[in-house]
Amino acid sequence: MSTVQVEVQSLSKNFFDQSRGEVKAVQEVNFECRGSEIFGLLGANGAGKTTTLRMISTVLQPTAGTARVLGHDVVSDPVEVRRNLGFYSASTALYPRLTARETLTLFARVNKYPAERTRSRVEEMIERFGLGDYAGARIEKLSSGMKQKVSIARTVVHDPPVLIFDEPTVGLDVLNALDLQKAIQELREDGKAILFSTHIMSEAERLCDRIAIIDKGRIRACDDLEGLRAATSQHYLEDIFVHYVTGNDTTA
Amino acid sequence: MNRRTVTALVINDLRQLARNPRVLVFAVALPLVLWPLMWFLTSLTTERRQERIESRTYRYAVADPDAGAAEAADARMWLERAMAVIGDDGRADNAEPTDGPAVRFERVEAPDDVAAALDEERLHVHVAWEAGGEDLPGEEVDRETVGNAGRSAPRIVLSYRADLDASDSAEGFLRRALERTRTELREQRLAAAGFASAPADLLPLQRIETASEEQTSGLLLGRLLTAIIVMMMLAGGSIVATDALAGEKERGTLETLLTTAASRVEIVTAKNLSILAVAFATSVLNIVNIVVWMQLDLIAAPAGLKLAIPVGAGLLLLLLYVPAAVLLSSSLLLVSGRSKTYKEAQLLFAPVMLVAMAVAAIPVLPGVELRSAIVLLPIANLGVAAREILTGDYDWPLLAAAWAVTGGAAALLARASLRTLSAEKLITASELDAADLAGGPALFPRRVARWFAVLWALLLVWQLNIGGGIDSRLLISINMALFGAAAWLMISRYRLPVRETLSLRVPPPGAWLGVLIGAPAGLVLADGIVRLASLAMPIPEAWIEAMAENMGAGLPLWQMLIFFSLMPALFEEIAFRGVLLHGLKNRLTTVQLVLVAGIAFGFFHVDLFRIPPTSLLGVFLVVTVVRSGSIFPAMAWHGLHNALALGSARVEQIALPEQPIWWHYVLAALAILLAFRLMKRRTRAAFS
Amino acid sequence: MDWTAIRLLYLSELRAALRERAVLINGILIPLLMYPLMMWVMFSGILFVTARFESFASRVEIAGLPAEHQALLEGLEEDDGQIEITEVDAPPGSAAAAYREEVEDRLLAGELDAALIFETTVDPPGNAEVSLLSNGSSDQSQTARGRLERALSAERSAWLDRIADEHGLAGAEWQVFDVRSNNLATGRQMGQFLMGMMIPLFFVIMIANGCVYPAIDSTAGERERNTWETTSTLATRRIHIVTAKYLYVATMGLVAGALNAAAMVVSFRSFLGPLLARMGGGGGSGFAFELPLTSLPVLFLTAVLLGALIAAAMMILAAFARTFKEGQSMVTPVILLVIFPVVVLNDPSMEFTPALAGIPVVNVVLLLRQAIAGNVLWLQLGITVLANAAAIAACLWLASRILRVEEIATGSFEGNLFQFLRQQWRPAGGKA
Repeated sequence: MSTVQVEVQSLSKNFFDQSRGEVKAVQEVNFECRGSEIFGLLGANGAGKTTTLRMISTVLQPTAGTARVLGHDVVSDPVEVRRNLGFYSASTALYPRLTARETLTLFARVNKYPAERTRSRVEEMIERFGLGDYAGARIEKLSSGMKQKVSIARTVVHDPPVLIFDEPTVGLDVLNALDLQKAIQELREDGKAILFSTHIMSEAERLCDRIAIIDKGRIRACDDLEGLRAATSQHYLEDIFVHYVTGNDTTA
Repeated sequence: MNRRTVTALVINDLRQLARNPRVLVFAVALPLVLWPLMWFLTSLTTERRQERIESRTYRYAVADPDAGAAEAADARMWLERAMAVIGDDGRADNAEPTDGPAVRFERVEAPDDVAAALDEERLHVHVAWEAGGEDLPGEEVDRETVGNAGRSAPRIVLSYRADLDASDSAEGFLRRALERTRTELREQRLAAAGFASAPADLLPLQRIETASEEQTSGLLLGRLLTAIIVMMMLAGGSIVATDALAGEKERGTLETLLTTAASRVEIVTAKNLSILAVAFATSVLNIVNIVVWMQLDLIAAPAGLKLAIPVGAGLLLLLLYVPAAVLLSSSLLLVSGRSKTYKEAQLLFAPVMLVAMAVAAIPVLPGVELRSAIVLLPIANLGVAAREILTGDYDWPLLAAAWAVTGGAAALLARASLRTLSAEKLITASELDAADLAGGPALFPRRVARWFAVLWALLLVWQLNIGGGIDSRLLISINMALFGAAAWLMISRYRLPVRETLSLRVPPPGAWLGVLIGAPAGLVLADGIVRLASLAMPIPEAWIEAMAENMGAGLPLWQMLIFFSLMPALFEEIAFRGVLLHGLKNRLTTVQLVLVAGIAFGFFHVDLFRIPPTSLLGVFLVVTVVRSGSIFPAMAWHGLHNALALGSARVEQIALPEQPIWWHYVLAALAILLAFRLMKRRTRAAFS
Repeated sequence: MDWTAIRLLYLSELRAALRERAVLINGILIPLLMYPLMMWVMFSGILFVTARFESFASRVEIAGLPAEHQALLEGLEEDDGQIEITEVDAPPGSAAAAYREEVEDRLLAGELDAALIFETTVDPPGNAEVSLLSNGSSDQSQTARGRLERALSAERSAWLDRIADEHGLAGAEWQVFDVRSNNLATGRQMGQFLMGMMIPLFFVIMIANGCVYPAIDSTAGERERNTWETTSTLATRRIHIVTAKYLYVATMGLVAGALNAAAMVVSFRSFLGPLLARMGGGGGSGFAFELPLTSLPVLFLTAVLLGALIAAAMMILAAFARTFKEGQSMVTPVILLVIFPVVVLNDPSMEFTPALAGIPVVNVVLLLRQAIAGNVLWLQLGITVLANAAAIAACLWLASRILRVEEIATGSFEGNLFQFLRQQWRPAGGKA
């Protein structure tokens, strides 16, 4: 196994809401993710997946606990964390009036990729994701499948060792979703540490090396699929999930 | 901060804008055509109006003069002479003679009903004349033209209608012609009586302007320059600012940006630079545009304005405006960052623009000097500084102070906009939650500001519309009923717990002593605040008199105590120290609470000059409730304060002692502190 | 037409609108509160400025005042506001130039606000050449200059009276005649004149302003929120949906206009009235701001006509937009078309001829102005109604043409009204 890239310890997040008071979105979450590994966060909507990932990507400040990316703390060294991180979610959009090439150049620069290698890196990405014919067209003119490819290329253009995919397949059709999953698997082959969140069981089953089941802000179980099966004596991930979340078995 | 990152972000913003033809057309190109066009049209309208006035035929009628044939003949002669010179003074610019027909007057038959004829515009001006006699009592006589000699001259009466354009102009033409005729006649008579010199040679006046043309024009330019620049910067900056954070938030690109290695400081800097760049570019475009139009003579520059700024002063002005520009761009960015959508940002820009324009217009006010409290007001201080520079007055230490103050404010705002990027606010999904649906006490804190805003508007309209004309007792009663009703409505609408809302608790015994010490001291300090404020906004004499009258000077003492002391103490305390305070207390820190609730109370006294002292009173009363945990000492304080103020007014008619004595104020301040100390409750928990 | 369905849809639009902040602010709060607030600020501002002027103590220096004209000093003292007068003797001829220079320096340094220098001339006795020195770059100096000018002019005419008296001209013979103007307009009529100049202009602008948000929100906004699809699958014909929306936009315009007119009248009474009374305007009777009762039906009629016209025009343009932002730029031309006549009409000498009654928007402003002054011109009224009705009909016809095009209804049409018109007309021309 390669080294630990992402390390999360007792991470908690409370929101304050004027009328509801304190809302505990994430409580005492612990996990780690290594290179060449896809670590899945599986949970229902509102379980705390996105909040956890946003804390790791420094968009949100944790209330308590620590998270480190390549040893950089998310609170004390956020810029270094983000430099080593690619974040992709259904809500991270692209600038519609830029071309694909301009987009990639912009994000390479903003992510402080070495200036002298930026140009060749952008061309490499264009080639790798098959954007050649469209690299000069504005993104608003592209199909959703093409946009998605540009988005992934945008996420990895600065060659970060850690990638976060937050419910990436929401709203995609089957073929686009499969394309995306393939791309994520390829990135694992490149040695990236990948955090992946989803509420779709089959996706988690197919992609993830290890799965954390998260509910009401707490991790209920964390293991590889075999381990989870052994611990719950259920076969299907769906049943395992229900087992941890509701405490009941669906099968007799 | 990384220069490469910032540059990349700025270029990105500008590229987005450049590729948005619609915005470029509507926000940049259209105003370039539109403003000069409006200007041009306005001057065209004025010109056409002038032409129309001069080319009209005015109908006049003369009443049958029946008082003595000789005088009637005189009157006819004067009128004829006046008709000969009519319209000679018509045009403001005597430079070139008009091609159009001169003003024509046409005599018509004198109607029986002059008023009806004027109303139907069959007639524009009616000339009657009266034999000489004493002045009617209460009549204004223009001493400058009529002089003091003799009051028995015959009088020509021009009846007309000032609300009908043609009639109003006709009267003006005829009156000026008659006055001219009279001057000529007098000169002739004086000469005939043996006075050798022409009256025009008496005390001939020569006006000598000591300031250079640049300086006089500088005053005019300096008054307006800041307002114009602020307006152009805001208009230009808002093009980018709406998109900068709110638009990006709406499209989801902000989150993308936040997960990159760009730091928050870099993002805010880049956004500010983009706003500044576009604002600067559009301002330059607009200025060049206006100058070009002026050069083409399509629009006229305002009279007396010379657009010549010395290079040194120009550079200094440019340097001066830098913090103002940053302040504006930061405030736009802040608003953009606090809004969730493009639409919301746009809506919120309006108040920012209003406030900025109001502050930037302060140099228009006469006699405002940089060497005054104005130096502490961002943007306004730079505006006043610019005015002084343009009139050739360089007050270096104060210039530096103004620059630093505005720069500091800009830095503060920039920091605040930085904070909007901490994404908690991006994520709270919905504005609506359980409290909105259920209503009740939980919702009240969010609605309290709205209620009081409506109450204020009501009070404003009512007090200024009808309030002045009625008995002061009735006025007070209605005001108090308004406060009482509003308090009752809020309590019942949101089912507020009455005891807690109104702080109906037994106060610590020391509080009463505190009130006895504090209220008189507060009155002394209020007097100090009035003095302090009158340095910046002097109180007109007429206002003080009107105030004394409104205070019901003629009422018996017991009535005055009821209406001006007891009733406000009850109802205003219930509304402001009860309901308002309850609504605000959980949303603000104690200091904020004291200031906001106190000053809000001041603003309910609508009148400009009453706001400072009543705000101070409001602050004291809020502190009283916060410290003692009970509303009763505040009621006592308020009642005592008003009664003492009434008493002192009775004694000296609200006239201030000639010389303020500083140790009075120091003593009063110490007394207030002591009073607050005495009020403190033993247990802290009660007020929270 | 299925009016039940239209009514239902219309009411639901209205209800939704009243819960939308932007609509509420632009359609109700701004028209209602803007003028009272604006005038309060203006009122306070003017009070502030006059008080400041009163507080300026003008520092003036008067050199060589001839004994004949000592009354000048009294005149200055009696004038409003404080004044500090320094009287000095006329410098001897050789020192005159130096003295003048010294005064100029003091003026420039701001130590003095204005100076009068008398240089005695021979004829007639007591006459002098007067120089008034001031500094045009200082407000205080300009105020002081005005005071000196007034006092000097009063003294000159008093002196002339004295001279006339000495020459045996007195009473009527010297005064010749007195001119007195007698304004027959009542305070009410003066108030109506002022209101007639201002209310119609703001009325038109506020109706347009009240229409903007609803017009965009109910077309482009629906598309942006993806509720358009939901609405268009309702079990009613598309024309009914559009009619309901149109009525709703027109209603919002009407409401904004009516509220604004009411707020204007109230603020005129509350602020402008007292202010004018302070400044002594309005002839003997002062201003009274009351709308004549006959103007109310006209006000309502014009609000309906304008609301219907502006709503139709805006919705036609906004129908092509797919986002709120696009819609906003697309309706800009309508706002401009409304504002331009308003700028040109800011002229009381304009007469309301039947020809002008044929131009929409312009005719409404002029009609209202007359109505507020208490005149109802029936011919012009008729033409105005017809002209606006024709314009509304034209807009509605165009709208029905546009809605027949599937692409626009579903929002997949790319382009605006002009591109659409070009497309529609080109094939027709080709066939001919």
